[in-house]
Amino acid sequence: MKDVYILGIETSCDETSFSIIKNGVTDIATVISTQIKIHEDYGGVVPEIASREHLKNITLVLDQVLREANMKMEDLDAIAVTYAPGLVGSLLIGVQAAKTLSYIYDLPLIAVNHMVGHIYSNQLVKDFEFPALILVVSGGHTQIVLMEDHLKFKLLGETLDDAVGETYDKVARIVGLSYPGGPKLDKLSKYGKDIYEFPIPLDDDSLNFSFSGLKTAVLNFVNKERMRQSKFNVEDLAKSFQETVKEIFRKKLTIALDNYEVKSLIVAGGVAANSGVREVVKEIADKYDISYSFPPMKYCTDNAAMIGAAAYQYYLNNDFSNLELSVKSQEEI
Amino acid sequence: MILFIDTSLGTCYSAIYKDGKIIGEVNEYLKTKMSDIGTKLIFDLFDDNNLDIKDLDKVIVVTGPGSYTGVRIGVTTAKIIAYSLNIDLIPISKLELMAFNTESNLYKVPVIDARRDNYYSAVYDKDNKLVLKEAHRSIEDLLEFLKDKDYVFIYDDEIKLDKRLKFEIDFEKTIKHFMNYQKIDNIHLLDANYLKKTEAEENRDKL
Repeated sequence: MKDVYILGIETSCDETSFSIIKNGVTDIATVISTQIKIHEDYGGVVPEIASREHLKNITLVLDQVLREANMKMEDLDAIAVTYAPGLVGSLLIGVQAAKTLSYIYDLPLIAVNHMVGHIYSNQLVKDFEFPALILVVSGGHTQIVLMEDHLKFKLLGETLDDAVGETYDKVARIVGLSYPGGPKLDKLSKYGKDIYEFPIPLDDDSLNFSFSGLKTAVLNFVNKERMRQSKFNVEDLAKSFQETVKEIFRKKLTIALDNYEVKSLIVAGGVAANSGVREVVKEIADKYDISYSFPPMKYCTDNAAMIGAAAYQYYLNNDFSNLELSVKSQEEI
Repeated sequence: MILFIDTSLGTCYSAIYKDGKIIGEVNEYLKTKMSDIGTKLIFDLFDDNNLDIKDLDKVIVVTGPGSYTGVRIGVTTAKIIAYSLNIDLIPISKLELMAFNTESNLYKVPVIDARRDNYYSAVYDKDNKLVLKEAHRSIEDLLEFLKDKDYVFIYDDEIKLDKRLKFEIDFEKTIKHFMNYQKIDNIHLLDANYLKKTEAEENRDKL
């Protein structure tokens, strides 16, 4: 079969990214223009500003990816774009660009769910071994998904309130770390001791998660310590919090692997960069003697490479979208 | 061959101009469906008339003011077309477009509702000469400028003001006029003409 080159486009939040992926596995070129410095001023992503920045960047990033790949639009076989979930105004810029490129160059348009993309970022490292258990961890998601084959997903459990990434950012804010605080909290935990006790919410035999109680417990702890004017150690708090999160994942992944026989354990989403998540996944996979995979650090943040990787499977299935494609703020995989 | 695009408000306006006349046009009220099917309606113009988009020489696009999302749909499309085909890109103002398409001996005041009794507005004389530059301003400020003047408001999407005329586009006249406007030097730098900072920026600036 001839090689298939797919242009991936990702604009679901605050990164404008284009990528050219060969046969769903080889990253020919990926360009990511991040707005993180702009949103830092506001303590979080401001949707209208994100949309405005995407519009400013859109042709620049496209131009750069074509240059880096040393390719022309005519060399491509399909255009893939994130259409959900995400910020509607941001998603629209990518989808609008994708529709226009698809029409001009008469290329099939492929709609990719952002979270499916995160899962497929692993495919850029090694082939999936099915069935696989996927731990989806990001600022908006915490899910355990069974993946029986390409694009065949079954949701086994998910958070009933806050997502794990959201919890990291909120706890980081409680202890005074600036946005985005999650990764900073993770870093601090390396220098602390696990000396503070926090509860494990939803400690049952389901595969669902709950994190809001944990966040509240940290908040209460910090408020109490501050009222007593006692100086708690931030590194120790970070470590204790991280260990609690690890214990939550340890328990839930154990339940999942006791109930579903899988060949691999795969992590997807922005929080896949978190060292605690990496440690616990490695530990559990080793215990059950199955393979595991994390996306490389450069594909943990939002990127278009994963969109191009996922799109290849739709391409093989001739599963194409059209010029009436709508964006959606929410959409399950 | 020239493509005109205006998706800045509820109606999708688009036309293809070739050899001195309009070959095809879209003038359809889409409101919230703009993001889903606006692009398709524009590209259908080429297919329905057996035209190849690659034969375009120029794109004229309304860059605002208007609905932020609406404006971005048209500007993204125009930017990608002009970049891909390496052709001229001419940005124009929605307010000027509204005034230009309206015949009147009075002062012409194109207005777009910007909520909370604010309007994106400008004032033109009967010969389309700009007498008050476009801005986001309160109705009080606008009426203050207009007192002692005979004027008519020009609107596209519904407004809560009297003394008004609905904007009706004449594609041929519009394209013949705006095709000679200054093209943008660097396509990458084309941006929407919002006329207003985001609320987050305004709140920050207040601090």
